[in-house]
Amino acid sequence: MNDTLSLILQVFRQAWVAITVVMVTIAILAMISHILRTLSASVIGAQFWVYESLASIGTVLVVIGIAFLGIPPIVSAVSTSIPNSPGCGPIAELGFFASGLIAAIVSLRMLIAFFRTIGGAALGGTAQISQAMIEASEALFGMLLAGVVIPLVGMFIGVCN
Amino acid sequence: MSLLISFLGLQGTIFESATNSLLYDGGGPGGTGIFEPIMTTISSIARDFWGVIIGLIIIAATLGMIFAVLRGAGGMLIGGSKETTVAVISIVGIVLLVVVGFVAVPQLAGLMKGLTPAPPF
Repeated sequence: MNDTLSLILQVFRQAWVAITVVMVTIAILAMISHILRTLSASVIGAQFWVYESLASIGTVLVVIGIAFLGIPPIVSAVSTSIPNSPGCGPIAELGFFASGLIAAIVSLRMLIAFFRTIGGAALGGTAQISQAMIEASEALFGMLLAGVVIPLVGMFIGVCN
Repeated sequence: MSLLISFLGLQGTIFESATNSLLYDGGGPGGTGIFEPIMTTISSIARDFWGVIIGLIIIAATLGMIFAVLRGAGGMLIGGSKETTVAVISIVGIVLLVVVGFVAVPQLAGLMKGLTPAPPF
């Protein structure tokens, strides 16, 4: 079970790196595209487009900053609430497997939520930052709940005192 | 024209540095592992898209400056000083916008790449 957990976590880590690289790539391309949009708007005299493009560039930077600087500390802090050896008896191993995966799944889910937001901002649409924060909060709440549920399940089943 | 050509040469350097080192260089801490083929394809497409956007920026800037010169010349022809002033300001603004974009975007890209965190699990 430890080998399986290590293998799955390795894949999740590679997925994290891949998603962060794609986010940076999309952010760079979004900024240069909005530079083009700003330039075109200023040439034809469309002031609203200029403001909109400049705001989009700022939005992309802010969302990247929030995602890269906010997610790791939050996940690290909340993952301490997950018991390392939850339960006892037959479900101890399964609980250990689950607790190892929870932080990884929550991290990726939060990152993907911000990835969608950056995609929206890159296309010039509304950046659903609030939606990303709601999804991140849901993921964190699920993580905290799992930290409480895992020992309770063990006690309910009767394998733990 | 020679200024534009030398600027294009500078842009070629910026283009190479941006695409080779900023967009994708094998991934961050730990690498991308099994996602490497996908990342290579995405980075290839991203490089092409970057080149297209840069080209469009240069074209739009050139046309914008030519149009501003036309407006300024028309203003001078009829004795309109305001039109001429606006035209000069437009040209300067376009050049500044392009230079800021070509210098700032790679710097911001390097900043974002430096902020890329390691997996927190």
